[in-house]
Amino acid sequence: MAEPFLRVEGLTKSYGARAALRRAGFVLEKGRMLGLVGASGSGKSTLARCLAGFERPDEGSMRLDGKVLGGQAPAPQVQLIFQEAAASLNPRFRAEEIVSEPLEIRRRGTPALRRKMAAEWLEMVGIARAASAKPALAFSGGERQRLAIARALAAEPQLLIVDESLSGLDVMLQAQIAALLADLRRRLDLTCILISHDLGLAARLADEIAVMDSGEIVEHAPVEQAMGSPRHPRTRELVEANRLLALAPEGAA
Amino acid sequence: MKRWPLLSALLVLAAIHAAAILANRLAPYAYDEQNRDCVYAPPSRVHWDGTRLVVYGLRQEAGGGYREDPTRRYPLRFLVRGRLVGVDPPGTLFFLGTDGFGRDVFSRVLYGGRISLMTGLLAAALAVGIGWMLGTAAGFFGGWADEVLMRGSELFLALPWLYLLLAVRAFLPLYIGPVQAFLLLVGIIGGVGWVRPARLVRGVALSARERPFVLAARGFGAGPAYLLRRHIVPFTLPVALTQASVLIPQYILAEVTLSFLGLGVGEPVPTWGNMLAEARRFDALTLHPWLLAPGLAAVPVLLGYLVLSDTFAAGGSQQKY
Amino acid sequence: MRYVLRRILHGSLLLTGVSVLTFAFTQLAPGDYYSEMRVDPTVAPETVDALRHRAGLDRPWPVRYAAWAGSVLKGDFGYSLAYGEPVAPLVRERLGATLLLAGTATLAAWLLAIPLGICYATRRGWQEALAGAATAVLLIIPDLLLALVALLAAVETRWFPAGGMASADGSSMGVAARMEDVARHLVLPAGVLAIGMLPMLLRHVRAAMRDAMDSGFARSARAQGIPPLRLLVRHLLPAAANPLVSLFGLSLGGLLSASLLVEVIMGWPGLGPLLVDAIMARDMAVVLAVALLAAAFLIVGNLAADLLLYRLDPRIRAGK
Repeated sequence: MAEPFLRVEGLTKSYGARAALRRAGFVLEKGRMLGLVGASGSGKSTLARCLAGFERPDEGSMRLDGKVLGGQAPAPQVQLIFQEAAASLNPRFRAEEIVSEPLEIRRRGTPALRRKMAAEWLEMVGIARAASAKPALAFSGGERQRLAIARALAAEPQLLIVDESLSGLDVMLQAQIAALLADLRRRLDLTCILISHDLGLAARLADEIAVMDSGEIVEHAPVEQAMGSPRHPRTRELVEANRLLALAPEGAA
Repeated sequence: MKRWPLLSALLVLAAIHAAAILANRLAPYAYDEQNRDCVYAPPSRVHWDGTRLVVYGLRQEAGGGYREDPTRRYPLRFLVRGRLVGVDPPGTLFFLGTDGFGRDVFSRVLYGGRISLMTGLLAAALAVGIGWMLGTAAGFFGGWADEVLMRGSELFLALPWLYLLLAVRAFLPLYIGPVQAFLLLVGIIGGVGWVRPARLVRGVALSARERPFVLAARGFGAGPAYLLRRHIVPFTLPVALTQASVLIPQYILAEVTLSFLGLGVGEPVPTWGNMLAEARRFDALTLHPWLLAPGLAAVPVLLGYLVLSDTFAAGGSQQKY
Repeated sequence: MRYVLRRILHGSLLLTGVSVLTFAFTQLAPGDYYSEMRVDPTVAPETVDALRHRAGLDRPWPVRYAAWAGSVLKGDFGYSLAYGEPVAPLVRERLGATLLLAGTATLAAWLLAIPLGICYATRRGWQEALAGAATAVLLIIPDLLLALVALLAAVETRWFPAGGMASADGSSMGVAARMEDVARHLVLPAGVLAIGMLPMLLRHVRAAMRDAMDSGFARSARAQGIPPLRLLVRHLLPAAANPLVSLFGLSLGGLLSASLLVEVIMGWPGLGPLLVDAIMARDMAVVLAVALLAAAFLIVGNLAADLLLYRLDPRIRAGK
C-alpha cells in the first residue's frame, strides 16, 4: 500500500504532570479534509501545534509527503490558522502586507510582484482589491478570518490546519467561511484538517472524522460512518449531542 | 483631534532652541563681556522719544544703586556689528540687567541656553538610544541577556537619581575645561539614564514577541532579523519616543542642577545652572532678583516638552489592539 | 512569609552589590584627599606618602573593600579626612535632618494630594480644566527655581527664617522652644519640597481614582445606589490603593533627589550638603557612606512599599 500523504504515529506530549497527547496517531490522504473533534482539553490544539511545528512532541513521529515533520523551526509546508485569527494579524499591517508576508519572509520576487500575488489571494478569499491598502484594524472579524486564510494560502502549504477559527463566529459568517474553505479545497486540492468542538460543522465540511479524547484518537472514520454508526462511546455522545442541537434532521445537510 | 496645543508647544520649543542657536546674532553682548562700571545693573528701560527707541545713560548712586540720566540718550541700533540689536557705548542695553561681573544677563541666558538645552537633547538621545537597543535585545531574545539587563539595571535604580549622578561625578576629575565638562555631563547623565527607557522598551518587546502574529510569522520561517525589523521595532518606537520627550526636560534640569552645584560646566561659559549659582547668595538675590532669569527661561521649555509628552502618552493609550 | 524573606534577601543582595560598585568606583577616582597636598611644593612627597599610608590609602582595593565592609557592618563608616571626625556620627545626624525634612514634606504632600486628587478626579468641564492647568503650572516650575524664590520670599517678608535648621542661639532654649524653632525653620524647605511633589502626585491620584471609578464593580455599585461617601471609602479608595502604594515606592528616589537640592539651597543640614561638600573635598569615605545610605533608604522604602502591596492586594498573594 502506498505511503499515505500524512502519517502521524504515537504522538505523545506532556506539560509537566498533565498529559496532553497520548500516543495519538492517524493517517490522511492527499486532498482529503479531516474533521478533528473532541471536548476542550482533549488535545486537539496540541496536536495541531505539533504538526505546525510550534511544539515539539516528547515522542512519536509525523511524516508529510514522505518528509519528517517536527524539526527545530516551524515548517512552512504546514500552515495553521489560529483560533483567534484576528489576534494573529499585526493590526498595523495593511491587508496586502499581511497576505504577502510569507512571500516577503522567503524573499520571493520583487515587492511589486508580491503585491500582485497578494491581491490575487485576497480576491480568492473575497476581499476587494480596493481594500488591500487598509490596515488590519479596519476590517471586521469575518474579514480578518479571510485575511488569515489568504495569508496561510500564500505560503502554499501542503497541509492546512484550521483550529477552531469558525467556532467564535456567528452562523452567517460561519457559513460564509465554510463555503470559502470548501471552494478553496476544491480549486487548490488542499489537504485540510478542521479542528472543531462542533461535530455538525465538521461533518458538513469534512470527508473524514477523527474523535479525540484525553489525548488519544479514539475513532477515525469517514463522515457517514462516524455519524451513522459510531463505534466509540465518545463518538456516540458527540453524535447524540449534535442531534439534540441540530436545527435540521441528519442527512439534510 | 485638537492639534493646537501640540503645535504651539512645538512652535515655542522651536523658537527657544532657535534663539539659543542664534545667540551670537541675537544677543547684544558676548557672554564674557564685562562692564566693570555696570555691576549688578538693573534691566534697562527702553523709552520712546517720539522718533526712536532709546535707553538712558546710567549713573551710579552712592550706596550702589543706579539711576537713569535722561540727559544722555542712546538710540537702539538694529543689525549692527553682526548682532540684531545694540547701542553704541558708553550706552548700555541690558534687557535683564547684569550680574556681579557686569555681564549682560540676557545675552548670557541666550548663550547659556545652548549648553543647557543641548545637554538635555544629547543626553536624552544617548540614554534612549542605549536603552532602546538593550531593551529590544533583552525583551526579544530573553534568556540570560534579559536576566543580565534586569539585574544590572536594578543596581542603577537602587540610588536616587541625583545621588547617583553626584556619586558618578565624584569619581571624575573636578576641575576640567568647559568642553570636557559638557561632554562629561552628557556622558554621565545619559550613561546612567538608559535604565528606565531600557526597561520600558524591554516590556514592550517582550509582549510583542508573545503575540500570535509573531508566532505566525515564525511559522512562515521568519528569522529574528525579520521579526525584529517588521514586528517588534515598530512597537518599541512609540515608547522610545515618549521616553525621549519625558527625559529631555529632566536632563536639562540635571545639567542645570549639576552646574548650579559647581560640578558641571564652569566659568566663564554660561549655562542656566551656573548662572543661577550666583543667585544662591540670598543677599545678592534680594537686591538683584533679575538673577533668577535663567530659571524662568527654563519654564517655557519644560512646558513645551510637557505638552509633547502628554500628547505622546495619550496617543499611545488610544491605540487598541 | 516566604515572599517577605525573599524580598529581604533580594534587598540585601542589591545593597551589597551597590556597595561593591560604589567602592570600586572610588578606587577609579583620580587622586584622593591628599592630591592637592601632593602638588603643594611646601609639603615633601614623603610626608604625603606617610599620611596616605596612615590613612590606609595604599592597600589594594579588594582588601580595602573587605575592611570597609567589615567595619560598616559594625556601624563604623570610617574616618572623614575633611571633617577630621568619624563618618558615622556625622552622617547619622545629617540623616536625621534629611529624614525629618523628607518625611514632613511627604506627609504634607500626600495629605494634600489625596483629597485634592479625588476632587480633581470627580470634576468635569471648566473645573477640571482649571485643575489641570494649575497642576501643569506647578509641574513645570523647577524645584531649583522654587527654592530660590522661597528664599527670596523669606528674606523679603521675614515671616520665615532663611535657611538653617535652628537659630544660632538654639542651645539656650528649652526643649519645647527648640522644637518650635526647628519647626519654624522646617516650614519653608518642607513646603518647597511638598509643592514640588504635589503636581505629580495629583496626576497619579486622579488617574488611579478615575480608573477605579470606571471599573465594573464601581459602576454597578453606583447603579445600586450606594451613597457616594461609602462608595469612596469602601470601594474606590481600596482599588486606588494599589497603584498609589506603587507610586509611593517609585517616588522615593525622586523625593530624595529633590530633598538634596532643597537642602543645599536652603541650608538645611541634611545629607545633601554633606555629599556636595565631600565631593568638592574629595572626601571619599563620606561620599561612600552617603551614597550607601541613600541606596539603603531607597531599598528599604521600596521593600516596605512592596510588602504593603502584598498585604493589601489579594491578587498578588494568590499569584505567588
